[in-house]
Amino acid sequence: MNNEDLKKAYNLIAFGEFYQALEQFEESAEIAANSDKIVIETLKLKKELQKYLSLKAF
Amino acid sequence: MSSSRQELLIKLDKLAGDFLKAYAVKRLDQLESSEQIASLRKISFGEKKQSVKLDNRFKALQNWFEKTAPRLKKKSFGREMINTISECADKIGSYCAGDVDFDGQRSTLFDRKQAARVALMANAFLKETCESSGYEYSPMGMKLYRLPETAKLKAVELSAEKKYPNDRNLRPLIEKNDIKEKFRDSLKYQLDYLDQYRGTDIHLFTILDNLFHILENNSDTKINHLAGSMLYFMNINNYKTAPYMRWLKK
Repeated sequence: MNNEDLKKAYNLIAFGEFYQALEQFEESAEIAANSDKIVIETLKLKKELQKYLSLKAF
Repeated sequence: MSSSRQELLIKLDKLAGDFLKAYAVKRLDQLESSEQIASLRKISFGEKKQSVKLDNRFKALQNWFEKTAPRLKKKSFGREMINTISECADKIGSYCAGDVDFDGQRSTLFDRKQAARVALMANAFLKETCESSGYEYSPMGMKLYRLPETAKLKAVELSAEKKYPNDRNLRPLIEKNDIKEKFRDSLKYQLDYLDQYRGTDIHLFTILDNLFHILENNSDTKINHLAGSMLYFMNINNYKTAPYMRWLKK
């Protein structure tokens, strides 16, 4: 993942666009740096939580 | 699912969001710093097309130190970035010393005054960066001198306890506002700042010029104090300092 892609992903996160940010990370063929793995995992966790919470709302 | 469990999940979701946003801001600062320092390296080593000629290189470097450097968050600099800045400062300094082959441009003329100014800017930037990141740069390499935050707090508490044994509530306030300590800190900064020019033939006026350049772009109490102190010293030693005095008063 090059710097431009990383910047795009982090800008999306900073603006609260978590789903798009996760897609941006997943689109990249290369593996993100170690420091970014925690972010990817947290984004996945957040996605699951959102899914679960919205299901419960129904 | 019980409502308390749902509340917990909502809290966790919010916590994850807050963490992600805070981390993103930090990483964006790091990425920006890393890109700009890579650019500084390219300019310093003449790897950019527009900075192949030495005069253009010094102009580009001056521009970098005046415009780009102040907007970078120094706390986001890692050891590797500081090492790159140090390499750049060495390279820039070598132009002034004239001990390198100038990338095969030995006969190229360039403005030595501007080169000296840029070298001072590079050294000042390296020093500031090291300090704010908790590193100390020495010829043997870099070492971390920053105490962990908890140890720092403990040290302040202990020193306050010693000084004000009967005034537990006022201790932190008094420590924070101790003007004598602030003055001592500022004097120490001045000594450290000038130490980097010991043994060089760089005149105090050149250093002063550089300080004024820094002050033009951002106000810094310690730099301001240093400039004022140098001016006063030069004034009592019969140097003409009136134009600088006028500028500083403004």
